[in-house]
Amino acid sequence: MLEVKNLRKEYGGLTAVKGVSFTLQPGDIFGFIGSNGAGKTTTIRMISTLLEPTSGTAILNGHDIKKDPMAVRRSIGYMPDFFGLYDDVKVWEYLDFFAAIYEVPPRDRPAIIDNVLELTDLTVKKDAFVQSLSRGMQQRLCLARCLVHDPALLLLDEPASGLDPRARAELKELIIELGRMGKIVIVSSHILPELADFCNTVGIIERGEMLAFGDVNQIVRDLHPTRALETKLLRDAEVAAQIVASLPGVLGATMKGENGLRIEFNGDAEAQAEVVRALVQGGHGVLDFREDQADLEDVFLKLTTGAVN
Amino acid sequence: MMAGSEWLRQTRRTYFGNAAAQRDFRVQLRGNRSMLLFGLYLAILITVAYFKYGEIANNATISVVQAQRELRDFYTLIVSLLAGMVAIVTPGLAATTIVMERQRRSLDLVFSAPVAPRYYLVGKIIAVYRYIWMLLILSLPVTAACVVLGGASWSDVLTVYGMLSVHGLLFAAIGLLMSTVSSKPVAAVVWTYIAVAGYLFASTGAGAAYSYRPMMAGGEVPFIVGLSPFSAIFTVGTYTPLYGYHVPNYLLASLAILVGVRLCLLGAGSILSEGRETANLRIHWMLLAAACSFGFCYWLVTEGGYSGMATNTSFGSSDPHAAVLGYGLFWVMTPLVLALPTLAAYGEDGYIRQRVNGWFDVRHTFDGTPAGAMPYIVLVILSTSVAALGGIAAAGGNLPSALFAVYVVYAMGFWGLFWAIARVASSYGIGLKAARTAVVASVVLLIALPVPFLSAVSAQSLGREESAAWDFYLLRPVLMFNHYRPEIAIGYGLGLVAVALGLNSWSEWNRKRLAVASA
Repeated sequence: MLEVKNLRKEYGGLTAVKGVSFTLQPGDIFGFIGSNGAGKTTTIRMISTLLEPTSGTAILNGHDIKKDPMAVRRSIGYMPDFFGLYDDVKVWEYLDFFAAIYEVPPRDRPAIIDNVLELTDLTVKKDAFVQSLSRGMQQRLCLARCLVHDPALLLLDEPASGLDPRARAELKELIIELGRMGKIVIVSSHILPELADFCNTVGIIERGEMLAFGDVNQIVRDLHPTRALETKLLRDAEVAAQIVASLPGVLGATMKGENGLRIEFNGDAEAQAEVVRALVQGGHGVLDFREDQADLEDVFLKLTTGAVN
Repeated sequence: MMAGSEWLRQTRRTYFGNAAAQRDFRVQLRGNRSMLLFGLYLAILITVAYFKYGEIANNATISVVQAQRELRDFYTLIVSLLAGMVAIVTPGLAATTIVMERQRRSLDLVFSAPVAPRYYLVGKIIAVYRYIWMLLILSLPVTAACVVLGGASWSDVLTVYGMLSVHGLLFAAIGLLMSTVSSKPVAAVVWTYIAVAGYLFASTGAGAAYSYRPMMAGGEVPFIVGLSPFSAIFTVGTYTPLYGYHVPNYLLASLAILVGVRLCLLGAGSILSEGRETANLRIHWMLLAAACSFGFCYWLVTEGGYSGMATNTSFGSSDPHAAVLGYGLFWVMTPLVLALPTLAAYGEDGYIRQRVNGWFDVRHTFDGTPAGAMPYIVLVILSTSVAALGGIAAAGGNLPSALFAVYVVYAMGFWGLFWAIARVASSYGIGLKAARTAVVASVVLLIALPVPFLSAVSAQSLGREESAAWDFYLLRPVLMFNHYRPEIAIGYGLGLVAVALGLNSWSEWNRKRLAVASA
């Protein structure tokens, strides 16, 4: 379990992170969202023990980042937003080096290296030089490096940046698999729709403050308690608006474009079916009827102002 | 018990099977580059040896004594070549190691693993050290010729090899320090070679200066000759008497060099750990200054120099013990000039950030932040002073009068002045590098440049004769003129403290003014 308690980082007069707190359980995939300069990387670097917090702390499986940073480091895999690869070594040598500094016993290393290469689909590149790998492969190698010591927590800072769509999809699958393996995964990213696909928890940070934290759907529901139904009619949209406005669960109906209606709605499924039925029975010619679902991007835009430290 | 076993485990892990050393060594020996370098190196050694030996062997009229001397010279030449190799190759190997890691941004990956800067730096230095030993061992066939022909014995060769390898360690440590400080590989290489050249110049010069008289008199040369790789040969078979024991000079020289290695590595570790190991470095520097002060004073009393001061007429009616110890205290602390730009300046320079957190806060004495600079300087001055008095007391000498305190105040004023200059420069937000450069420039401007000017004005050179013009020189209270004037030391001490405080107030006002303006 990871408990982040009131983590704060000040640089002279600048406060980069202002008391961030959250708790994650094994298997959680946490999407950390924020603009550039919001404090994501600083928070991740503090959890990874690379930066000393000004105050507050984080506790990973009973180990405090301030009191016992070495024990924390043994339990984390940190992948920054850059590769940091050694060009002049082979893939297996690179992994062997990191296995050695993570104190993996020499006799166990060959098998572990084979395993992580298989997991990241790099087995065929085992004897290739790192510099000969494509960007996507280098990204996967970075992830393989994070896994050589079987960490409980993975900190992935912008892991999908610069990757092509296929590599992104592969990375997403890999992260989901890691979550299934019971690891806590913290992923920071700007690509919000992707995060929504595989994160079960998100946190939105701006100017060093955590604006929202929790289950993705719950956050969306909290910020958008009402739903929006959108319909496209063949004729008489204005009349249709008056009809649906009086139906149960409908909070209001407004015109949207030519013969389009946007209905603010907080009813249940029965009430929603009743709206469709009324429109059809009214002879308005329903061409399209759908729910306009709020997503993570809407939530992010609603919560944040774009201001940075 | 647990802590002890953990320390042992970490130490074993650091020195044996260090992953950083293995990785670097693997890369060093990969490809044909190393083989070509080794071949070239051997070719140069063999060519020089061939021509030099041919010169001796072809001389038919040479006497046995002359031949022996020539063979000894032959051995000296080979050792000098090896010393040159160590001085050229080692910095080149070490200078780019950390800066390249920083450029490819792999340091974060390493330090997010359970790796302390010590482990990593030791790994780097082991890789360089191993490479240097490979080069030394490759040269063995050439030096073996010296042994076979009678120029040296095997123990001479092995001792000199050991000394050269220790010098290699020092140059590697200097390279690592410069590599850690620099942001570009070229700058790291240039500064490393400048630092090594400076060290060679100073150590060879000091060795020559201090060994000339004893060598002429047929006595033992002091151990400091071993501080230069080019005179390491003179440490073989020579000793320094120490408390009744004859300690081999190579041992003392190696010990002194290893202290230097440790300080360089601590400096690099402090930067790599973003200040978390700064306390360790600062405590080491403080203890080293105090130990030098204690040892020097103890030696002064036991060797009779301290009692001899009483007859020094330059000091007139003043207490010569207090005055000479004051001079000593000041000069022992001169290495502070190297650390001062780093200690006192603040600002930002790329990845290095030194944000201001006040101007005097004893809680920050050891953490490397600007507020701890002055408390640390004061602590070094006080600990060095107390150690000096402790050394005298321990050796049974009489403690100096209260006049000694004047020099403590003078030292605080002198270092306080440059500290305040650093803060004034930093307060303009010109960046860390520019602020540090300003400190160095102020040292040159106030200490070095006035010397030729004052010499010209007074028609008397530095330290030879008293002149009113020299009274305006910042180092006046600690220059040994014919007539000692204690009022100058008191005046300078109090005056400099006042100037330092005034400049600091100005810097604080300026900093706040600019902060308000930018807000």
